[in-house]
Amino acid sequence: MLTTTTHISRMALIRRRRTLPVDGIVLVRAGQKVAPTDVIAQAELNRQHLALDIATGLGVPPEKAARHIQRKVGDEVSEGAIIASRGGMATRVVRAPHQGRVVSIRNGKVLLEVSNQPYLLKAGLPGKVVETIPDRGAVIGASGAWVQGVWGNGRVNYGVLHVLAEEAGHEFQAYELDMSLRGMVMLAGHCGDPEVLEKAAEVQVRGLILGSMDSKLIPVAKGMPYPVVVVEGFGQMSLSARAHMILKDNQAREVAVNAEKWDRFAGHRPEVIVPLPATDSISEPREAAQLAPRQRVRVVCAPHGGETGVIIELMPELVSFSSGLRARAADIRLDGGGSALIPLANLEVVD
Amino acid sequence: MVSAEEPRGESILAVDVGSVNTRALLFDIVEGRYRFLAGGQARTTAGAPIDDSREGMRLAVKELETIAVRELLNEEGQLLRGSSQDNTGVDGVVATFSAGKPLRAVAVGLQEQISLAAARRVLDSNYTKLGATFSLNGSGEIAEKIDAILRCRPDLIVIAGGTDDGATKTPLKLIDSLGMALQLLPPHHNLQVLFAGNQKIATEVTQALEIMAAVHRTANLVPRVGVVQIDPAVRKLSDIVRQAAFLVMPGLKELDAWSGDRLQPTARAFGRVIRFLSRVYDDPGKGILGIDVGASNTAVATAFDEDLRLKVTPGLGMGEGLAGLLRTVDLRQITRWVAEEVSEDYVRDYIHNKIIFPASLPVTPLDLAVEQALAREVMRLALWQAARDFPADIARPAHAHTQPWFEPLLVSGATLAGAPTLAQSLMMVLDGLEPAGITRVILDKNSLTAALGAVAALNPMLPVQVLESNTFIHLGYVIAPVGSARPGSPLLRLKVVHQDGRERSYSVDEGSLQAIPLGHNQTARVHVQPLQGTDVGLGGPGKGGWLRVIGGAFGLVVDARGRPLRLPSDDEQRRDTLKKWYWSLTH
Repeated sequence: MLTTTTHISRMALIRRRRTLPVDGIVLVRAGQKVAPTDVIAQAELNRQHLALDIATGLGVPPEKAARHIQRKVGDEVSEGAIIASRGGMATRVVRAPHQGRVVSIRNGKVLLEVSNQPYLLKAGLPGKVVETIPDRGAVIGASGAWVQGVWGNGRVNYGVLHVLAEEAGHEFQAYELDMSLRGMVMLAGHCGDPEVLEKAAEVQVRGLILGSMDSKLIPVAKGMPYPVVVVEGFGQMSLSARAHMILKDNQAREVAVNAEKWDRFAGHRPEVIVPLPATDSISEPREAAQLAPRQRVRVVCAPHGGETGVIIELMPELVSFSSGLRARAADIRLDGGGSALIPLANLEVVD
Repeated sequence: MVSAEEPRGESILAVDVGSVNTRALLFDIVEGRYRFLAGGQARTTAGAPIDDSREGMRLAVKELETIAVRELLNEEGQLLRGSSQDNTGVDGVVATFSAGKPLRAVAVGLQEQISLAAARRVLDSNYTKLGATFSLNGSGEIAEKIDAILRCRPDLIVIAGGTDDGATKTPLKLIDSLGMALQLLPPHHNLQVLFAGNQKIATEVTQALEIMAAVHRTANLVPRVGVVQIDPAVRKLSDIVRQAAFLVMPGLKELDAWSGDRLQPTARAFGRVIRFLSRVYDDPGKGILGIDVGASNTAVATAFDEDLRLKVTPGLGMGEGLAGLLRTVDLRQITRWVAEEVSEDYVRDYIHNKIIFPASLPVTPLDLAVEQALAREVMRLALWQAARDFPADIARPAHAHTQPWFEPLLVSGATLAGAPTLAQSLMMVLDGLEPAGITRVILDKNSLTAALGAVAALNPMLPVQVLESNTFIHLGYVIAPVGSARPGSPLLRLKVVHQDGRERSYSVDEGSLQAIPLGHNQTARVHVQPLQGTDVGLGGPGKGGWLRVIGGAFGLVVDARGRPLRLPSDDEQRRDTLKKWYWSLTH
């Protein structure tokens, strides 16, 4: 059975295609080094407009309004500037109610763009621009330790990694945060208290990497100014031994946290990268693989959710589970000890 | 390379590329009748990381080869066309898809209640997500409407408005305002416009918009006052969705070629079967209801006197689609269906994990119960949303908050079909859809319905014979009286006359759920007498009559729990009641 891969790797070559949702301006060039928070492209997405009905304003038929309009498309206008006027016995004018830019003139109407907050595309990881994608973005390459998560709150940042989770089953408490951790990225186990997230904002951390989080905290996490990446899932789940070990070994190093939402179709995923010089022995990562004996896997849901292990055997017959479901399954030797029969649908490959 | 010739033989391969799984189904003649033989499945590979649906297609077909012991692909992975004596190849291929993101859409119409409503119905029939509407009498200033369109970044705009003999100035004014918005859209390489308004201005509209979009024309949705015809626009939209899918998932083109350029959206094929059943059952007093619960989308197809109403709800389903459920429904509505103690936090966590891993399976009894509770609410929500577009004049109980009379109910989807027991499948249907009156519940155990809809154009006999086969499980005739009665009081009297002449009478109390013994596929005559003014759809409250009933997996089921269904507010009583209902069905 073919399944996607989760990367939990000490050293990997990483390539990320970062693109705008629409055509825009690419701000980087090939070969350029970028930090995770560098803006690599921008586009006009969030615009607001005002429509001025010149015909009604001047008291003329729509087909005759154009001759009274004193602006053209592209003109910048200040608040109060005259857009159109009609002389004669009773002079009438139409003025711009706000500062803006004329973007359309059609059939007696003028459309003013009064607000335009550009959409800024950040690099999301520290690396080098491998190639640019005209009008859309760039491909960025990096190497280093790589841990992919399952959920993120949409923010990007980077900082020095500080490991609060000495054990994979660590329970994150607010008292563990103080101002000495300002500007750092925390690695913690499970978070079930909104006060922790709020305290982290007060302390001005640069990011949170959590093994798991109670899903009721999602609205709070989404409102935080720093990135939050959940590695294993929601509810009480321990950080996998493998992810814990890799991140712990990289304590005090700079880590990039890209907490973008997991889009399965596009292939974007929240992830954590510790930039390290590439070694000769690393190869391109696999993005999909067949489940097979000796394959390293991760269990995606309860029981054993978040745990990693190795496939001992793919069971030849359907296996019955306590829910009553019968499914194709594998016998897994778990990294934490013991073994378990897990439905193939509940496994993903770890690379 | 596969040619697009008409098949001369009998075997058909149906391939469906879903959002999570790709399935390959094989049909062939066995003992003179078409039968479903076997199915293979693989993860859909249309999106990242493989970005090529062909890989998933081939893996699904390869699994089918193993199960059916039939060679279907050659060494190069090409389909073997033409079945032969040595059990290789197929004679025909049909294909459906629901993978990929829904098209972002804008609906444009003159009047909210008429042309805009018709445009919405067209969009509802396929995998689209309505981002903004634009009408002359809608709320908001023109600039606000333009901004809404720009925020939506539509892939598709459906324009309706003006009868064919109506004024042209007003619709053209609307088009002009729309043009203002389209001019400001970021360059879009595939913006589609479907014009289905006043045909007198079709050419002017095309000329005004074709510089900014590909403009398609189809018959007016509202050709005359009081007349709404959406079928031509629905067909055209299906083609637009298909072409858009090729751009995003180019591997689908090969599947389209396999099927002789007949690849179609899964929901559309599903709807075809429901419309066909409407012709077969031909009961003017009842509609047909079909529901297909997918991972990302749920399709509800209803047919009233062959008038098909198809409502696809993208973003509502049992995988990523649970996000849609969570936005709309209180968690208590979900936990109420779980017969074990479970916290809302646990259910919320389960939902979010399922959104992340839509293909995952519930391994523990509690997780299964939560999953089946979710399925109930997904079906309930999908049906109520679809009900907004039901014809106003259809037959329904006089009581509020009940569905129209439907017979049969055809249910499809992995959670329903894959339940460990048929009783669980039936309970999900009865609790989630709350059928009223007298109906039959049919479970599509192998998720074949959409495939049969696609096959119909190629081979009209095949779907008929497969629908009649045991592949579709007749769970039972269900009698569900509607109306108020004292708890525990007699609600219904039944007399069952079996084929062998045996007679047995039953009294059914309010609040109960009973499975009356009747052998599977055995026929009986049943006299139903509703009491206390309740209605079973035999002519009004208190009206009874004789029925000819065919026993299902659960014989004849009487659901006297009331409509709408109410559960005890006390949690312990509620859990006991759920367990009691399940026990009554299975003993």
